[in-house]
Amino acid sequence: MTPSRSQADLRWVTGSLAGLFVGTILLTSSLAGAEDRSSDTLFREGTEALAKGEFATAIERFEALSDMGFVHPDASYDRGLAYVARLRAGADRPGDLGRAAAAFEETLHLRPDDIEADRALDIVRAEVTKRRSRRGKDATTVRPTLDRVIVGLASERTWSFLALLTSILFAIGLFLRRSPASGLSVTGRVLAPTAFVFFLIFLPLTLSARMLRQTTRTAVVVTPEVHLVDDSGTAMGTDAISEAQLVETGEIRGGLIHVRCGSTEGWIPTGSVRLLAP
Amino acid sequence: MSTARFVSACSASIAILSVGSGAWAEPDLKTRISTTRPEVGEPYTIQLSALVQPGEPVPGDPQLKAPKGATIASGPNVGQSVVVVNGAARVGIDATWQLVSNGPGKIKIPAPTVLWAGRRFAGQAVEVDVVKASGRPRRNNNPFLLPGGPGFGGFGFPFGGFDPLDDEQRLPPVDDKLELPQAPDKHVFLHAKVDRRTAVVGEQITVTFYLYYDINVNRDEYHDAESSDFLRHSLLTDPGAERMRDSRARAGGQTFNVKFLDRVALFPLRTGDLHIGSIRQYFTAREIGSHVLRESEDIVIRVTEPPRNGRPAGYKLGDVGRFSVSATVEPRKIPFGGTLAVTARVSGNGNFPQALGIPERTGVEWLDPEKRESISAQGGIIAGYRSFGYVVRIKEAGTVDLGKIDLPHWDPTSRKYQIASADLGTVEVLPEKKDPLTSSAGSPTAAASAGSSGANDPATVDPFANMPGARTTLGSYQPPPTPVFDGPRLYFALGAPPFAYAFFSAGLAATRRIRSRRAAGAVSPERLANAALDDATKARSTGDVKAVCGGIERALHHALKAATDLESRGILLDELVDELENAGLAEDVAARIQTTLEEISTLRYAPEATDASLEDLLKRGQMLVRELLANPVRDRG
Repeated sequence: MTPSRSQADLRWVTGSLAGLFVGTILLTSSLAGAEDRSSDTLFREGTEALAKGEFATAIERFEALSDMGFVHPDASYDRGLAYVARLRAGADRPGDLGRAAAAFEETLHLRPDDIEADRALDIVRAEVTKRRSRRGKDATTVRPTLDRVIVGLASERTWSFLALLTSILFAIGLFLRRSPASGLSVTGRVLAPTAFVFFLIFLPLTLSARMLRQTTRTAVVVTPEVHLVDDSGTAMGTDAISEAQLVETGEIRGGLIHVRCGSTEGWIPTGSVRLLAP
Repeated sequence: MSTARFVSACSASIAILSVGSGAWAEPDLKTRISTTRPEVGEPYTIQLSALVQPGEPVPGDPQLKAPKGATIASGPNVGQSVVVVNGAARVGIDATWQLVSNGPGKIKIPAPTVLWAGRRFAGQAVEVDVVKASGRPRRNNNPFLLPGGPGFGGFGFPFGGFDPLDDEQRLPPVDDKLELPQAPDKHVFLHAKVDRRTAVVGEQITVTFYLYYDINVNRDEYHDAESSDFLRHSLLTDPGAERMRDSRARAGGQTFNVKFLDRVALFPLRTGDLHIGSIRQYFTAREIGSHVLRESEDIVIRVTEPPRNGRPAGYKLGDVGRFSVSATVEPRKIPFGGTLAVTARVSGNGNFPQALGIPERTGVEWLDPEKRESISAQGGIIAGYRSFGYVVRIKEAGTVDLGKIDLPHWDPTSRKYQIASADLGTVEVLPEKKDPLTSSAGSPTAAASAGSSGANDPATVDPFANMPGARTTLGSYQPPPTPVFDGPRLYFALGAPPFAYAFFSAGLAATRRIRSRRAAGAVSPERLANAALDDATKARSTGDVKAVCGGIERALHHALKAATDLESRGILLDELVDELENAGLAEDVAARIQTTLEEISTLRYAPEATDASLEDLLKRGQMLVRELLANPVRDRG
C-alpha cells in the first residue's frame, strides 16, 4: 500500500468515526427531547382537558404520564384533581376517592411542604369518612407501630449521616485516649464511649430505614374497602382497611400484595392499592 | 353381443375354479393379488374370495402355504362377503394374507384353500415377479389386478367394509410438520402445538392438540386444559363435530397415526411465564391396559407487555388486535335533561376490549353501556364485533360536542400502536323550560323553595367546592438525590473511622513489638558471644594475651547461655562437664569446653604464651562458640 493510499484510508476511517459519534449524539439528544416533548404534551393536554371539564381525557393523560414513569408533584396533583372532577360530575367509579387521595399523597411525598395538596387530601379524606359514616361504618384510626414511628422520625439520609458522624467521633475519641496530654486523653475517654453508644443507636436506625426503602413502598387503598387475608388466602377477620388509607406494601405474590396498616399485616389484591412514586 | 352375454362371458372368464358338489353348487373361488411386481421388502396382499349360494354352508378355514422367497407377514384376516351380480346374490368369505418377499426373482404363490362341505377347495396359484427395492413411494396400483394383466379389474369389493387390499392406499399421508424428535410413549400420547411461545398480553396464541397412536385404542373421558391465565376461545366452528383430516407423523423414529383433537385461541390475561395447561384423556387398549391417563405437554408462554415506548394515552393492557370503531348518535336534538343513545361498535379481530374510553366530561353523564357482540372463530382467528350501547344524559343546553371515542390498541401484525376513533359529533340540547311560578324570585313559593333547598348552595352540596385549583405549569421540583452512601459504600463509610483507628493501633503495636525485639536482640547471648569473639580477634592482632583470653572466655560463656540457658560463670571448672552434660550437651563438647577454659586460665597468667598457641586457642574458641550457637540444646529438645 502506498503512503498516500494509507493516509486516505486513515482519513476515511477518522471521518467515519467522527460522523458516527456526531450521529449518536444527535440521535440520543433527539430521543431525549422527544420524551420531554411527549411528557410536556401530555401534561398540557391533561390540564387543558381538566380546564374544560373533560375529566376522562384528563385522567387518561395524567395516567399515561404516570405510566411512562414521569414523576412530578404537579402532575400528581392535577391527576388527583381529575379524579375529583369525575367525583364532582357524579360519574365517579368505585375507588376514585382513593385514587385522588393517592395522587395527593404522592404530591406530598414528592414535595412535603405542598400546602394545597395537603388541603386537597384533607378534603378527600373527609369525604371518605363522611361516606363511610353514611354506610354506618366508623372512621378508622390507624396508628403506626413504634418501630415505624422511630424510624420515621428522620429520613434515611439523616440517620445515615448521624451514624457516620458518631462513627467518626468514636474513632477520634479513641485517638484522643492515647494522647499523652491529660486533657485530650480525658476528652477521648468521655467521647469514645459516648459516641459508640450513639453509633449503636443510629446504625440500626440507618439500616432499618434503608431496608424499608428497599423492601417496601407506600401505597393508598383505591377500593371502597379491602379485607386482609393471610398467607393461605383465608380472611383474617380484622377490620377492613378503608378507601384512601395509606399503607405500606411489600412482597407481591401472584395477584396478592403484602400490606402493613398500622400494626396489622396481611395480603390484599394488588389492584386494590395504588403504589406511590418512589 | 348383448350386454348380458358380455357380462356372462366376463364372469365366466374371471371364475378361476368352480367345482360341483352334490346337491350344492361348488363355491366360487377367486384369488387376487395387490401387485404382480412387488419390491423387495414391500408388503403385498393376496386374497381368496369364496362365495356360495345363500342358504348353503359358508366356506371356512382358509389356508395359504408360505411360498419360497416370501414370508406371510399377517393373516389370514377373514371377513364376510356378499356379492350381487346381475341380481343374483352370493355369500361367503374373503380371506386375506399379507406377504413380504425377501429377495428379487419370480415367486410362485401356492393357491390358497378353504374348507367347504368337508372338502378343501383351492383358488389359483399366482406368480409374482419381485423386483429390487427402488425407494420410491408406494405405487398407486390397482390391487385387483390378477396375474395375466389387466382386464380382470372392476369388480372390487362392492359392499365396502374393511378393504385389506387397499391398506397402503388408505393410509393418510405423513405430515412432516407434525414430526416430533421424541415420542413420550411408544403406543399412544397427546401432543400440544402452539404457534408461538412469546406474546404480549391480549395477543392470540393458537394451540392445537393431537392424539398420536399406533395401536387400536378406545378413547374414554376427555378433559380440556385449564388455562386459567388465558381467555379461551374455541377455533372449531362446530365444536364436537368438526374433524380435520387425520394424518400420520413420525415421532422418535416411529410412525404414528395422528388424530386432530382440538384447536383453541388463547389470549393471555397477564404478564409472566404462563402455563397453557394440559388436555387429559383416558385410553383403553390391550397394549397399554385399561383406563390409562395421557396428558399433553404443559407449554409455557412468556407473556410481556407491549412496548411502553410510544404507548398512546388511554391504552388498556390487553387491547390487542386490529380494530375499527364506528358510532351512531340518536337523536341529535334533545330537550334539556333528556337522553340520547350512543352506540359504538368495535369491529375487527383480536382480543376485543371489555370497555371503551368514553369522552366523559362535566355536564354529560354516560350510563353504563349495554354490550352486544358477535365474536367467533373465522379462519383461525377470533373476529367479529362488540357494540357498546350508552345512554347519555346531557345537563347543559345548546350545542354540545360529545367528543370522540378512541380505542388505542396494539396491532401485533404491524407491531405498532394504532388508535381507532369514532367522532361522535355534536348534539343540540334545547333550553330548559322554566316554570313561571317557580322562576319568579319574588314569589312566596320561590322563597319557600329556596329556603327548603338551602342544600343547593354549592358550598354545602359539593364537598369538593373548596378544592384548590389546578396547576397549568410544572413548577420547580428536584427529585430527591440518591443516597451518597448506599450499600457497600455505606458500610464502608460507617466502618472506616473505627477501622482506621484499629489499623493505626495495630501498626503502633507492631512497631513497638519490633523495636522491643530489636532491643532484646542487642543483649542476646548469641549476639554477646559473637561480640566477645570479635573482641578476642581484635586483641589477637595486637598481641594482647589477656584480652584474647578474656574475649574467648566471655564468648564461650555467652554461647553456653545461648545453647543451654545455663549460667556457666558460677560453676567450678571441675563440675562444669557434669553440669553441661546435665544441661544436654554432648560429653565430648563439654569436655572440650572445660579444656579450653582451663587453657584460658593458664594462658591468662602466663604472658609467655606463643603466638601459635594463642592462635590455636582462638580458633578452637571460635569453633566451639559456632558449634554451640549452631546446635542449641533447647532446639534439640
